[in-house]
Amino acid sequence: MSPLRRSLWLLVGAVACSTPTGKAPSDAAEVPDDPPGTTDTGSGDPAPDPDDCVDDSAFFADAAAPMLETECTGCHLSDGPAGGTRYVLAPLSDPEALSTNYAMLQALVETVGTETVLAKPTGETSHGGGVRFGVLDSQYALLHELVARIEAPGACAHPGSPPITCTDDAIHPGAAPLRRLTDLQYQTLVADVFGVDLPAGLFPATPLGEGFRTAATNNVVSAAGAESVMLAAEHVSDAVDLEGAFDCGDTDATCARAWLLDHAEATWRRPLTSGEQDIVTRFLDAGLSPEDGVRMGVFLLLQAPAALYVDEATAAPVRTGDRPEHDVYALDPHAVASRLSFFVADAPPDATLRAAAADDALSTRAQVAEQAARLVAQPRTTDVVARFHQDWLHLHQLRDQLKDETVFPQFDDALVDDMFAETDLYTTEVVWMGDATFDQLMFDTTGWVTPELAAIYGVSTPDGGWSRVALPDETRPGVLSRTAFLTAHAYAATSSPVRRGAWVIENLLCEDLVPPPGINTTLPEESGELETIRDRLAAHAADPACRTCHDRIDPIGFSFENYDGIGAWRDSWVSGHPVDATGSLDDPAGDFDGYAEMIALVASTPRARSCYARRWFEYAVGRPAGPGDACSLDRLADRFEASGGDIRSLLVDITLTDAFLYRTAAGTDPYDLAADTDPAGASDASE
Amino acid sequence: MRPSDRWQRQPGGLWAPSRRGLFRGAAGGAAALAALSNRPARAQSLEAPKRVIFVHHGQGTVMEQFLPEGDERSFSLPFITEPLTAWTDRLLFLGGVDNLMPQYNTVGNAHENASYTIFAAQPFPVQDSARLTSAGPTIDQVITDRIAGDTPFGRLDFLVGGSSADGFATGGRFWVDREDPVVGFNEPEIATLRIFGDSTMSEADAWALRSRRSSVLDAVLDTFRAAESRVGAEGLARLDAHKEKLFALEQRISGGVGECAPSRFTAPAGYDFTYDDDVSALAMNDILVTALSCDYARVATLDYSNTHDHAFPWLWADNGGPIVDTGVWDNWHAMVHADYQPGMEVVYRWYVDNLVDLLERLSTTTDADGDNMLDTTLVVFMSEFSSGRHWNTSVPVILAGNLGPIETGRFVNHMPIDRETFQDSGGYEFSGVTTNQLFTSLLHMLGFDDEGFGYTGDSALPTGGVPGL
Repeated sequence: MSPLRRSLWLLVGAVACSTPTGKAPSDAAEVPDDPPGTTDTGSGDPAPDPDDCVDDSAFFADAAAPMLETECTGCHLSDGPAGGTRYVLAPLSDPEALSTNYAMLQALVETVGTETVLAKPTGETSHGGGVRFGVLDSQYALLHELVARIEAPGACAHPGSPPITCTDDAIHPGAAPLRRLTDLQYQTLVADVFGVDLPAGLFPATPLGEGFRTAATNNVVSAAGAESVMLAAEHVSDAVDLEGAFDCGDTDATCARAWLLDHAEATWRRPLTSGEQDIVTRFLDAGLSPEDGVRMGVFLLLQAPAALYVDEATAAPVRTGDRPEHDVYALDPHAVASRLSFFVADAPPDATLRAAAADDALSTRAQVAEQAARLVAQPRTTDVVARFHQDWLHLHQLRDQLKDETVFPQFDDALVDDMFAETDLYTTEVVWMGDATFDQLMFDTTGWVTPELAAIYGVSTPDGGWSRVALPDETRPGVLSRTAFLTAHAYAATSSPVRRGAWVIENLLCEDLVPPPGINTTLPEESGELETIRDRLAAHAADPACRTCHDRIDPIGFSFENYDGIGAWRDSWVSGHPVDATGSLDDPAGDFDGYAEMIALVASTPRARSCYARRWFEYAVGRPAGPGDACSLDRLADRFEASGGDIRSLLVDITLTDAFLYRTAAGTDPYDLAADTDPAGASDASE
Repeated sequence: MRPSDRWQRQPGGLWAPSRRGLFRGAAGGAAALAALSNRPARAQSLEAPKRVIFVHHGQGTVMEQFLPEGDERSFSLPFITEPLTAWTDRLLFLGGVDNLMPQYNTVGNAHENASYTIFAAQPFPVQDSARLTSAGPTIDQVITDRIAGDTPFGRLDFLVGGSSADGFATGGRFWVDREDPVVGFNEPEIATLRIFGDSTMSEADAWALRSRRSSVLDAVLDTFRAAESRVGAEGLARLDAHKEKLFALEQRISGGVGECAPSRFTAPAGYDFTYDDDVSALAMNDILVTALSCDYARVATLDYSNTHDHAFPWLWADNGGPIVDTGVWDNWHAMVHADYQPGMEVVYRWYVDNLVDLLERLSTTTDADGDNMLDTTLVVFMSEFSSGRHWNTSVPVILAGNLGPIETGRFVNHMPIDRETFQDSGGYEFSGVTTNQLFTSLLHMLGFDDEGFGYTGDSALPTGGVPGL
């Protein structure tokens, strides 16, 4: 900034003293061997050093204002999409900008409060511009310090509770919603414990949609679902083979009781209390025949919450929160075992894991890591890997696709099945047989094809079944260049650069795209003036409300334009114009021509790896990451980097996060301001 | 008064009610009530309806071919609503009911904003795009809680079409509670079996089965106590909701559902319940009416779920070809995004055809008390949008059957629009009448005296029922 502008602003700016907040060091290099057992009353900010003070005006001019310009003025200018909110900045090119903007921030802090000001850009509460930065990022530290200075000019102190900080002894488990097993997990439970194959569709189906199948909100027990659970349990109780159940060398009744309690422990994944044993054996004790008593017992076991939900029982308290419901507890070893096994195997704990829980051998991170590594090496993890990637890539959309049969006559259910199988084979091979790295997932050119898929790829196959082939390096690097992803994110008759680009923004860069309310999302039709999709999107993005998102989405989306609506390569659009797949990005910065160059730019960044790790974390914990997960995610990202993007290690590391091993007393995230939002107050949101 | 007097544009393009103008708007509605009648209205029973049926279809309508033409008591029905002509004296058409709740949301796409709020009459409870849910219970559940009594099911829910792996689906419009969407039947055979039981089973076997299930459910409920000590407050809330449903299930099973002639459904060859909506719609109407006539439930919902990629092939003959030209439109959803396209009205009329089928079934069926079903049932027909262009103003509303003290045979129109401007691409003007008022009126028709329904976070919103009823 010019000396003149700075001196002008200094005339009106507060002159005070404060100290910058340092970001806490992360323990990227190593995971603590043992969960802390000592009581921790939370971490505060470092004490201010009076010698390190920068006056308020200099801080605003040199640090805060440029950050706000970068992060906020894309929308919060008077003529921008957020120009109608209570937060409108002047561009720094305006000579009055510093004084105007400082006054704006002062007013904002006064009207909506510091919490809201801090929560908006981090996505902790509603924000039309999505998540601008995380609570561990430098921008957040600057914003936090800015509001501190506004609240207490010259005080060199922060108001209210400090932002989340990550130290070795601080534990932040985030939210822990009670999760019902998915349909597949329940089927596996029944098969493992009772040897019964549950017919598909008997247990309530887990919906496949935008969210991960493991999400707590996807597995709520509805009124109809309660009856479905009953019918599923009844089926198992009728079908279970009881041959040998009464051959324990004692009376039938005694053997039946032992068999039932043994199966109850396996079904509930933990020991039963004596009261629970009484309930489970109630029908045996009531005088029913051993067989009838056992079948009734199985019928009830499989409907109990202990069977249906992942255990959330706690052991010792490890941290005192600001309120009793925020006290942090270590999880009971049996609960850790269940979380671990259902995450990496979609199955109940095996005998080894149950024994480890019973022997209290899951109470350190090293012990959990050992068990997790053992399970990740087993075949069941391949199915989990396939399911995660189906959900991450939003492949459920393949099943709903309506394709124009005049354009894609080969598109049918069999081809969709092939596309699913191709993706499963690719992702599981990467994780199971290959280097198991994120780079390989995103850049490998090995392909699995049937003759029908080979025709789309333009490669030849040796025979009529599945073949493993080498696809061209320049056109087919990684999972996003394959038919399933490209078809799922396309229109009926053609490609969709918006859908493909938006997926990359949201799921490879973890940016939340929120369309402004009331905008028309219909693209202008093709015409003499708007001959290509680029022309049509440019016309659409002429509206500033649309431009905010499309400036991010479209360049990435255009890079996919060499792939048609089912993923076949093309050099020209239907109109005859040569495909223009060029683009450029500011973040990550670079130019590209075509998908291969775009993905090399985007997926090679720590940001993409961090986003991928975050999505796996969300899959594992059954909920979106929240503000209280910042430290867990930061450590996870660091370790993923340190491992060279090793996906198998990532799965193990996720089981070592605070979110996996602990929960708060209430199961809620103390840092989640949005969760406490009173619907009646929604109208008071500042934008 | 002009609509612009009642509503003022807010910064950012949103509209909000003008505090000054709202009450004048209500007065205007009262004046409209004074219009002279030239259509013989049906005298309503003062006895409140026993039952309520909500019928919903997605993607709005084509308003100029839906909205009656004429005044309150003298009107004709255009193409989409024309099949209802013979039923006019049993109907109340409501024009200009706005769903204002999306205005209070700052996240979510247009569909989430409409679906999750249309029957809740509240904005999202958490303004976080990663955790969108409805601020349920929605009006259907509120009514269920009040009128279902000890009926075996309380409420019964049906969907026509929809993705489903187990014969159940959710449309995201009806909610028992937040994060607890209503799950309904979308496979007629499963619906029949679940509601009416296995008709091939002997009475003795059926009794034995009920006893067994009831005893086991009792024991299952007992296992909740230990489970409750292992979870936090968040988990307790989920367990409580689960337990409540189990308890209802146990009550229904132990009480039995009485004897009632089950609905019969024979699937035609090649029937696909997720896609063949022409078959499913009539089958679900039949099951729904039969189940209500047996007093198995007092509230029912019927939601048309194929709102995105559907081709509606059974309508192609009427339309003279495919409804969706996939050479132009990606799918049905993309087609209705645009201004009026030929073929849209054929689909929207088909929903109304099925409403006529429902009314016919109700009118020819008597309930367990021997009363005519249409005389004792309030039917609510709505869509979440007024247009597939994501318009939330002037959503289509038709009420039928028993409206308590409210006269039928009328068209009460608050839609502040000239018929010639139906094609205005900016969305319909705000009317000053809200879904909150509509649902308050429904409660009034049922004999309750609620002052309002839903969102109370904006004191400028009107309260009370719909003016002019």
